[in-house]
Amino acid sequence: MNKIIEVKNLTKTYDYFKKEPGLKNSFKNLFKRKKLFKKAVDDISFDINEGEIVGFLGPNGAGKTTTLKMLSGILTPNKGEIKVLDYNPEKREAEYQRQFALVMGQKNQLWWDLPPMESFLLNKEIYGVSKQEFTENLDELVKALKIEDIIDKQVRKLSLGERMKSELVASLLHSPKVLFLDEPTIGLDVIAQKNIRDFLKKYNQKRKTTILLTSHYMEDIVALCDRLIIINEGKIIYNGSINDLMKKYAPNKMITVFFEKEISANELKKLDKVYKIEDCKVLFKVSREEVKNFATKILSSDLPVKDIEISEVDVDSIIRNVFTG
Amino acid sequence: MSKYLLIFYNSIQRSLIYRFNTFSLLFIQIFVFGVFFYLWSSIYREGGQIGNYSLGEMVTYYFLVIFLSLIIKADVAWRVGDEIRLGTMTTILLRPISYFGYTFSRLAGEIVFNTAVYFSSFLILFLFLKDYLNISLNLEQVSFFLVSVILGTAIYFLFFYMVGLSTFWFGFVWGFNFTMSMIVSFLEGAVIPLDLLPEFITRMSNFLPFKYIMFTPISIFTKRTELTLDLLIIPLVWVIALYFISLIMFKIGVKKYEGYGA
Repeated sequence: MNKIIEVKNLTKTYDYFKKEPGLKNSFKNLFKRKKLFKKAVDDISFDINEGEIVGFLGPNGAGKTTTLKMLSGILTPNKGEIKVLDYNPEKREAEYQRQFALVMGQKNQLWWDLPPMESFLLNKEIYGVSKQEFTENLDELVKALKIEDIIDKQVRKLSLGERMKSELVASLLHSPKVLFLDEPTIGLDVIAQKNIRDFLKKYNQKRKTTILLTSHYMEDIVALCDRLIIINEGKIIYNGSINDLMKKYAPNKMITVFFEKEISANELKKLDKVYKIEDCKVLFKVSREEVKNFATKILSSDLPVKDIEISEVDVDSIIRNVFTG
Repeated sequence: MSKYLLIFYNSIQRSLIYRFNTFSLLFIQIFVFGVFFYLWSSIYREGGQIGNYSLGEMVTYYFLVIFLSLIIKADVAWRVGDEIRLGTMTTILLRPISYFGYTFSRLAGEIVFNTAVYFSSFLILFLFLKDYLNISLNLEQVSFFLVSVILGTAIYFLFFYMVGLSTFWFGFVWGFNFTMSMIVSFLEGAVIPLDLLPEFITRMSNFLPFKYIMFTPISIFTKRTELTLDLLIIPLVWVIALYFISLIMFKIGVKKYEGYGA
């Protein structure tokens, strides 16, 4: 497979000042400041292949956005190497800039006082998109995101969801090969979130665009990503598929059995693997491989089983496990 | 090139939306002019001449100062500074467009819009003040004046563009910007005509670019100077020099950019 993004030993350090609270300390700070350093990204390496959708996951301040900014050439790394489509982003070459897009949920590239259409037309000129390509792309994007009605309305009058969709359109008009998305669904309602997810999924399938996205919403990641990179305090702590993550951090499934009547503890003991007993409802924790056999065993026993449920431990709690060690 | 042209048009469109802002600026500047007008009228009531300015010449001087201030003094430093401080520069750095070109085209749009609006209102004001003003024009003088104003505007833009860029290092430059605006107002001759100031200030201003923003174009317009080419060549050299310094400054400074706010 074609490697589109290669990151090697990337490090970025921010400097900052510490200030104790209060006016007195502010005055002290005026004359004497101690410069402190924080490693936002600490020696990370990863590759991304063509057409992949990779999710970047981590708590606030983990270094996700910092990494995206370095990949798009806005921030200069302190150490390490980045190659995207064989370009060094730091140089901010126009050739490179024409082939990627960065969409930020918390930044606005549209002209605030004018309708989105004006910004679309401006991007057409900035990226040198031909008239035909522009018309085709615009048509496709506007239809897919259902924003026909708003492209002539002033941006400042749009709702957050409408604006986010317009941002996406503006960023995709030049058919980027690589798309960086920084929390594209932040602050949106459930329906708008789903719209954007579905759109991205389809777009990726159709165009084979390589997508790297960060999000706090697990659903975004599960719905979209082939692969997951989990980052915490500037370091990568997991890099692999969601399935493997589940296997590694959640080796067990939960089997919930509802009985007709309460079962004595003694009888249950024979069954082993009891996790929790709540009156007629009993939970069993069973490893993935044994689930099938165990379920058959219970159903074929002479216990009065009313219903049975097999469930996955939810991803959110797995991620929590990963972060807390 | 047409991307910059489009930014220029969008900027004019944007100004059209915020008409109220434009007219309130006009109002305050005419008010300031009124204050100067009465101040100098009462000063002149005592004696007939200050330096080599008669009352009519003085009023004409301030009339032009106010007009030029309105059209050329867009607040570049504040805007560039905010884009760095709030991280909105990110969306421009991402795209294949130069930040300088982007800022310049936006500003040029505003300047052209302002010129159209203020020129017509000043034409009306001129009709009222006709008897006080000393204006007689010929073609050569007007062409010199126009070129001189364009060069002055460029100097003003470049200088305050750099003040804005200094945000890369200082983080917040509102105070610095304010101080520089005051100093520049003084050194360009917007407060008091430069030839009325103590000689060492006049001499110092010859080594600085600022007098070409106001004092030189106004002197050309009011025929207080011979029309020699160095009136245009020296500011042109300044424009080129400032342009290259600003490029270098941007190149070094942008490495410190952190794109705050997301």
